[in-house]
Amino acid sequence: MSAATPGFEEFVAARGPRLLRVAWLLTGDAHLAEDLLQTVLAKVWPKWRRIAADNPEAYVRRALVNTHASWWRRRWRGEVPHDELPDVTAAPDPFESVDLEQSLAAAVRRLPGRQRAVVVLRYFEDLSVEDTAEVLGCTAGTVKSQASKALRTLQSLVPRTESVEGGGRGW
Amino acid sequence: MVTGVGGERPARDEPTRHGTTHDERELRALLERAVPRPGAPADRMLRVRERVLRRRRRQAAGLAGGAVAALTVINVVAPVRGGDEAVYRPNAAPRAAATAGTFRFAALAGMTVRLPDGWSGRALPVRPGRDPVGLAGTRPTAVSVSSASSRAAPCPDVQRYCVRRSALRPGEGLIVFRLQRGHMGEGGARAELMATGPGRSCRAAGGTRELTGWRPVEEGAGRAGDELVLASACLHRPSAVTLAQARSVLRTAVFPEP
Repeated sequence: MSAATPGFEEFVAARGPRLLRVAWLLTGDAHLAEDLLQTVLAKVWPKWRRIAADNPEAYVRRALVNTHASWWRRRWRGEVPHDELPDVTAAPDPFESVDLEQSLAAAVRRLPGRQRAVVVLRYFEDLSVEDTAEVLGCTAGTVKSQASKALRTLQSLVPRTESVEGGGRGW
Repeated sequence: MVTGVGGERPARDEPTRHGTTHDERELRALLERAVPRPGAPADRMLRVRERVLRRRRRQAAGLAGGAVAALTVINVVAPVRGGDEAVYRPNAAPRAAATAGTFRFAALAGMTVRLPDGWSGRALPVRPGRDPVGLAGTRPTAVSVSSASSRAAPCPDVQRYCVRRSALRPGEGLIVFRLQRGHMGEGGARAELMATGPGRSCRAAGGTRELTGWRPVEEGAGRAGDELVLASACLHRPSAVTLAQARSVLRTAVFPEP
């Protein structure tokens, strides 16, 4: 490209890292995440002038979720859930936080697609219930119920340890 | 869930004034730490552009699906005479308007390109309901344009045009320009010819390399600003010189001032 699209490359440079993390959380794989992000950016680019005038990040985020959902529906990504999660350790472990985070990421990938999308949007992207519902094309009630189920599932899958916020037992 | 320590912190499942529970806030913090921060590949934008180009090529080719019977057929009829097929030999006696220098495609928003030595341009008649198309290449003026049904002339399509199977000889190339509307993006960005891999139709025509690029048509002077000229170059074992020539054609494309 000899002339950059005004704003597009800047957007990718600025928001790409965050969007890639969203993609990673959706796909659970670094290569698939990059593939997903590039796929979405290629879809977005031809419409950039229109998108950029509104809320491009929201648009791209929605596209990430929807594109990943379409991949999942078509099953051509061959996503395989992780069968094994790390054992809960009784004694304090200097790498506990690392294990905990890895366990959490693995547990997110085991969630059903809709619940995973809710977790990504609500708790990673910090969207409101209403905004999450809009992205997913469902009701706020559905988001709440899916989030509740996802939380319960994650709590059952991830070993509990000291709360990251201090005090009490957490995840 | 476990209630927070002391009386100041809300219970885990008790919403805070922000409407979230302690568990939810903790999950946010954990996710932020759990998700890695991979670096962006240096060629991400390049890959994105390639994907856009491939999609456009597919879209352009896909337009032909099911409508072959109504297509114009381009038969490359003039053989390369008296020489090694691997050597590029421009046709010495092109029939149409321009052979070298510049060539203007009136139907393509007035786009003008500079043609390398040995290259020719050809503007095809505008057909109602179809995108305006122009050609440039080593032998575009040696093609005959005729209508034929798919039954009479089943052939692969290149950008909605049929080129006789294996029509491209070694060293030859054909660029098909098409004016397309309804593109609202890019914001004036253009794409030079980039390799997109030879598609089915290009391979069938004898091509071994296919490049795709585009030029947006500037808004103004009656132009809505949603047009672009898509260029698809199909080449058969091109030399480095031919490749450079093909790329130079689109690179020199200019439109009249709005």
